[in-house]
Amino acid sequence: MLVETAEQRLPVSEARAGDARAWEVLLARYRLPLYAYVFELVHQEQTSLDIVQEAFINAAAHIRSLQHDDKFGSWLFNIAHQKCIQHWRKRHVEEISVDPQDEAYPDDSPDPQELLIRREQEEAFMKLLDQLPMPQRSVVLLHFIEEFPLEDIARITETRIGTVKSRLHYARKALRKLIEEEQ
Amino acid sequence: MKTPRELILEKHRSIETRLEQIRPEQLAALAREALASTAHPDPMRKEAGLWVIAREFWMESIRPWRRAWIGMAAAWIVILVSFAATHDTPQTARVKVRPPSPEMMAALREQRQMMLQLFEPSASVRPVESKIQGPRSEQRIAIYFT
Repeated sequence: MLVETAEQRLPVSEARAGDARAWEVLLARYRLPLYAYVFELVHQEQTSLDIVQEAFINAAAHIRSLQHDDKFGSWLFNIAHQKCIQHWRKRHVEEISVDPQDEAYPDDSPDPQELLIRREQEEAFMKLLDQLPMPQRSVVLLHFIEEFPLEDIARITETRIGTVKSRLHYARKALRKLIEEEQ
Repeated sequence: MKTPRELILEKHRSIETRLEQIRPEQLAALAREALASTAHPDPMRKEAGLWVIAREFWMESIRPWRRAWIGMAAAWIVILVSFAATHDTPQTARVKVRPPSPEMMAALREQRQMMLQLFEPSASVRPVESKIQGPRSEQRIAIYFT
């Protein structure tokens, strides 16, 4: 997870109390990453904007049920993820079932910051991301965008950690292959 | 060189102006409202909650198996109707069973007497006094046996 320093501590308890400035901070921190995550799953601008807005509204309405303030990010992404699934169920039911085998994989995922993409690889990287099946793409995006730990990704996507590991393993393998080919 | 995060966020940077339309004041008001409803639960909201529970129960427990429920209800109706048809209630039984008339009672007593006389001739059977006198021939038989 992206490290939040003491100065960057998110004002979740203040937001729970209804402080508008706290919500401004949370919006500034999460609206773009959340939109990027949602858009890369649904590929529709207006739908993505609607989902992000709905996710924030749901979060505000139910923030009293959030027990651990430090989990606000994964909680918010889970709300958005559920909305993406609802959207997908209406359109691409068959693609949701596409999933690699749920096997035991070692936690070989290096720090996402270690994976650097050169300018000439950027387009290919984004294209490859689009080609990944939805469950793999979701896990990779959560790993890259927010650097969530595996436990949080499992909670957001409502899957087991083993499943998250296997999805990440396949996705990273494909991305590594791309980078090696480009080099 | 960019990290995947930088690359992905950069791709969507242009949408930020539209994302800024989400108002923090609106979210804060929602959070305050949610907090207030927890502190002072609104009875109307409680009723709405019960309605939601009832609706969920209907949608999840009744509706999917509605044919089974209807069949079970029909079976119970048949059972209750047949039970009501075959078993009279005490009230209806009282209405139906009328007390016998005095003439009928006298006739029955005489018939009983005659049966006793026929099957147990040795037994000393006293004739039942009847307020209503029967035919003369019967009276004669009665005298003979006594």
